[in-house]
Amino acid sequence: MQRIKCLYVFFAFVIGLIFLPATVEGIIYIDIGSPQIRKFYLALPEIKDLGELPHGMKEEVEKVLTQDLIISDLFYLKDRAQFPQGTVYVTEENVDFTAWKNVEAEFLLTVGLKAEGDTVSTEFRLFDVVQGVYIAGKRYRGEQEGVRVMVHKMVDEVIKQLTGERGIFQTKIAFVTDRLGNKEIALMDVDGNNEHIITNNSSINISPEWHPDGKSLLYTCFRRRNPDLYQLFLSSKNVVLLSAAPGPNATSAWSPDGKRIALMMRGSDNTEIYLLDSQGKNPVQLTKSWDNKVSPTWSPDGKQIAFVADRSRGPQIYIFDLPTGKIRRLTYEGKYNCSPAWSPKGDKIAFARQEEGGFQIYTIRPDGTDVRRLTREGSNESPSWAPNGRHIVYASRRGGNYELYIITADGGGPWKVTSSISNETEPAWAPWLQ
Amino acid sequence: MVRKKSFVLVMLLVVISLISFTGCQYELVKKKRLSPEEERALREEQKREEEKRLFEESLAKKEYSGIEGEVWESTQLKDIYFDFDQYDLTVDARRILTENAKVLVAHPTVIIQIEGHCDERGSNEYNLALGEKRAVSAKLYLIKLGVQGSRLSTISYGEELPLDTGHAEEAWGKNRRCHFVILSR
Repeated sequence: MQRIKCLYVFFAFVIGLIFLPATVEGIIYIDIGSPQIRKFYLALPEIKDLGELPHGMKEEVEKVLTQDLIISDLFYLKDRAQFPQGTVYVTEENVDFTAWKNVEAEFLLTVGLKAEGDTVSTEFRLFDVVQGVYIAGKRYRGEQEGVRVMVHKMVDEVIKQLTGERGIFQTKIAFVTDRLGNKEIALMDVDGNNEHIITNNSSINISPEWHPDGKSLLYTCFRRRNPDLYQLFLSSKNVVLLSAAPGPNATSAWSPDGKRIALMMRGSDNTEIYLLDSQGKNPVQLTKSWDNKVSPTWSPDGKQIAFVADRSRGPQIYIFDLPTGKIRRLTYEGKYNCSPAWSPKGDKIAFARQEEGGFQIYTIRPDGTDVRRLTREGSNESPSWAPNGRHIVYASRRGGNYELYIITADGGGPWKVTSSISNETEPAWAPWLQ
Repeated sequence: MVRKKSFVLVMLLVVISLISFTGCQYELVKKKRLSPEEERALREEQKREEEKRLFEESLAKKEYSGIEGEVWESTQLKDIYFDFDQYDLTVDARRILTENAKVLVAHPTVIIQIEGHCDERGSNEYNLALGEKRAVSAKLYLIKLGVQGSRLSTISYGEELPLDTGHAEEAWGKNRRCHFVILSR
């Protein structure tokens, strides 16, 4: 039943109409592959109500839209007080590019909203003010309760039009919450909305890890008085016990091709990195020495695994090269470096380093150069990359409880995305759904 | 000589007084026949019974929410504590483990699980490894003190089961510990 409903909602959201743009598609306005992205000035006039709207809907759409655009970290939003064309709904027919150029906008985004019975439709038009061209426009229709999802879809489309790459606002973030007293795995949208717990077994559930297809999650649960590895399928809610060797079956990481699982298991009086097949069988021991190893993370080409080992007393990050079997040390500064997360673009590894007063999120290149500190305030742990290789979600404690925050690797944010009295930790950003 | 005489006198008095309790006559006869070795064995048996009784009294059932099975805790098996990010046993920890080992040697049927715990600082993942190493440190030391390895299992709870949920050293110090639970008596 659940699945049928999901399918229905999905189809209801299929784009209704595409306004033909004046220019050929495929121009990259913003190169997010460049080391330092220049942010663009975006004019976003007030959302136009194209008919009567349910109470509060316009404000909600406005809020979600603005928040997504800010978190995308591609724009400076221009001050509306100076906007030309009054309250006129700007379309490709009446746009006055000169007037928008005069307020130094580089892009113009206009959004209309209309409710019809139980459904709602929303549309956007995106203009390149500098070139004086209409870039694209689309309309979406769906159930009223799904209006936030429609806005996320719209922002993702705007970003795709400008950067040529997929946006992140329809992806999910898994995390650990203690709101029920024990630790459960929960899911939420990127903006912190639509939260729901997916484990709910009253036990201790930790370390969520997405399958590369985004359809299932690995996590570790203590239900059988041992940290065992489970796989939870999101559509069916089926849970499968994958690995239950005595000792930890934990801190799992799926290989990018989904064929293998790297994880921590018991060695001889220590913990080692092992590889399992996708069914959790046929363990192969990857590392072998006296020290503890934990937290494997794969390079996107599947040829290297970064992990944490404590052979130099404190935990440091090392890289295992699968073709040669060689291990090299990556981090040297700081006494305590942990939680490596290899960017899906491959160029950086995010990690947490202990500083005076707490932990901070850093990035480092896989060759050990270009170490950058990304966080300043509070104690910050467990970084996880968005599939765009640019945004990072992490857990932060600033006096009270742990909440989830988002930053970009090039200095944007932080933006707080959860707001609770419980502790929200160990975020794992989902891949793009295939 | 004087000591021997007085000893005989005392014994005589004891015997007379015991004989006067006819109900105890049989006991007396039996006791008289015990060799010193047997007496020692009897005393040791009584001591063992007493230790067993005290140990039984020290036990309390412990249920962990969301974790299958029931275990016991004994007030005779004391927690040991660690420094931050360390799994080496401190002098205090060794002293406590020596006491714990005596208890385990005295109760050879008892099978325990050593739980390794950490404070909240550092990654949850690394702390899971650290907790494992702490439990192993305690296990190896108990084996060195004569406890059979087959009676000792380990589990790491990392930072997931803090004793004190505070966010300062006072709480952290209590949480960096090995706790001992009894799986089977």
